[in-house]
Amino acid sequence: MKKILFMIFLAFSLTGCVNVNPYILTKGQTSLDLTNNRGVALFTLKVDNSGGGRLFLSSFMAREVNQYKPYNTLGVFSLPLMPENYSAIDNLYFCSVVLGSGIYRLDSFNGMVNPFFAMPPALKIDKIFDIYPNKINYLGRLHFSNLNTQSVFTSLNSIEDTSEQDILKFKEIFPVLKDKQISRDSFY
Amino acid sequence: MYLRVVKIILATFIVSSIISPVFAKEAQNPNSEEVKYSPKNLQDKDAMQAEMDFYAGNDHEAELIFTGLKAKKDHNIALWNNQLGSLYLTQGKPKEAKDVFMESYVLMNDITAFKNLELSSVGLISSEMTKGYKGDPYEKVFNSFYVGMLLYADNDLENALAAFKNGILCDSDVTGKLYKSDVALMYLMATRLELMQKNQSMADDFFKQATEAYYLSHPDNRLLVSQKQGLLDDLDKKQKELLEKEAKANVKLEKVINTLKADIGKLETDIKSVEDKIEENNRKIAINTLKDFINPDNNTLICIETGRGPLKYQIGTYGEKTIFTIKPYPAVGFSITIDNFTQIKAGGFLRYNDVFYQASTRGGRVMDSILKGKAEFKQTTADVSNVLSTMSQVYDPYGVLSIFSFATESVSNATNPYADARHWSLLPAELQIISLRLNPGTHQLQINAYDAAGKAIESSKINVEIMNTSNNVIFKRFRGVES
Repeated sequence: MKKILFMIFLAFSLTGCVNVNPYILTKGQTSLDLTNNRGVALFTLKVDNSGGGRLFLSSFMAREVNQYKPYNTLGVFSLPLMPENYSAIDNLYFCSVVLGSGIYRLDSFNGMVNPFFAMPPALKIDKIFDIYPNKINYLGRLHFSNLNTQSVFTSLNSIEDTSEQDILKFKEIFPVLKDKQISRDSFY
Repeated sequence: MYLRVVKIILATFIVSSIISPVFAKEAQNPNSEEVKYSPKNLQDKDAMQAEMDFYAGNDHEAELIFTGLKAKKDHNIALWNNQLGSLYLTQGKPKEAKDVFMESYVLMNDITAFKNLELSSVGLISSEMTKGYKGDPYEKVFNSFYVGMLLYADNDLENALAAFKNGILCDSDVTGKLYKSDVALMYLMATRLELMQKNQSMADDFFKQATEAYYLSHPDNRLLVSQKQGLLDDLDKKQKELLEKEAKANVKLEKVINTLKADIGKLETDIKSVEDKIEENNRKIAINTLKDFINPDNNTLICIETGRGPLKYQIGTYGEKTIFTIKPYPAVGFSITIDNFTQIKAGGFLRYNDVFYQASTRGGRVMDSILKGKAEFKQTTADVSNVLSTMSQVYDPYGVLSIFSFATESVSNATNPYADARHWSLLPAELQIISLRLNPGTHQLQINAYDAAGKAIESSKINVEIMNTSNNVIFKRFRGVES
């Protein structure tokens, strides 16, 4: 009986280890399946936080935009940010989205700041992007110039095309992209 | 007994021999295009894949999906036809494009079409998406434009003129007075057709309206026109308020009436000042391209469709509102080289036929207020439900309030305030048209697209056959297909 319980416990524990979110790229990923009309969008995020405490971003949210589906059936994707997504040297988050081809709205980034009484920030983006079938596109660098830790929402400052340096770093962080062609596209 | 068994076997054989070929293809190859894109296997949501295929350059897949959806002959048939029309024009199939645009034209302009579906969408429980698609005013305008152009190219001049006049009428179905009938292109085509039919006075009238529409929608004036529309709306509100107060006339209201009169005076001065600025701009705007456009000696119209049309999507807590956005397209200018010899540059093109501008200045339909009502109802019932649910946990040991709360919540969930976001997404962002004289025969055109810095970003070579008539039309789409 003890053995059975132990096996069940082990099975549950190991399930957690291999449970990878299918909507993002990961460091250890060795293959990228873009069949069935799936595609990838890549972008970076920079937050200038001169005055406040350290910022920990944990996830971002993307919402499906599809005029042909009822509003209450549209997908909402909460996408986690893993340690490999943050590059401390560049102070940049390297974000990826792997979804079915279609139109999506990048809603916001969510996270925490270390001062105990500060509000958990939500970085509001509200920008549309496309996922094309079997394509990997770089969309740009989102820039928040002044994070206000006292405010619930901070708005986006600018979007820049820094594809040359960002794509190189993406390939370094996610080896699965190494030999893949990455095109440029934009948020709108 | 045996006879009955034989009859049953025979009947089974006949039925199976009829049914089996129907399923045979599916059984042999469930992934074949014929099966995958058959109407029974396609759903409305698959149109998104077709849309993305179109913008990724996979026209074949996009065509299969839209054709399959069209074959369902459902309440979205006019939408599928419009999408297919844009696809066919891109593929250089004007005849097929004309057929599908014509089908849409009939449905979009028939007030009795889908009447039952429209009535049901006004109720609180059903969604606006269930009604038949007829399009926003800007979509009707552009459907009329394409029908008109393709009929014009077919030498059906009277029907072409009727289509352009219909487009002008659709363009007047907007809330803001200043945005009524500002699609210069429709007036210019009407002018051209009247000139071809030797109706000089009608042509003069249309050209005058074309010039006014061109000034009104010119980028230099857009902000000023928007300011003027805002001031006119305020003036209208204040004037109504003044009339109400004056009708009640008493000593107490005298101060309010005087304030309103002062506000009205100020608004009138501000409107005059904006009008003067618009007038000043108009004097600087060149209208040579308009005159070239209507010149009947120019026997060819080259329509360059650029980028991707406006995207309409739902916002608000319950998706009860829709807004438009647009994906920027880098090409701003074009050049055409004819037979490797003559080059025509940006100056000759009729520009500012901006679909996003037309879409975003045409709000305030009756349906929006109905949707607003639905959202308020949903909010109220949701609030009542939450309060009752909380109360039931504290005060209702017998669960009476819980049952009521559940019932209210069910109504709230069934109430459907989602705004209709269906739109003609394969429309281009802008149309640039040039009117030229080309000798009859075959010509090779090389069209280059340039960005704001003057760098060539897309290029296309096409062979065209110019007939010995004055109504040749060529369409070329630049949609920024990613390589």
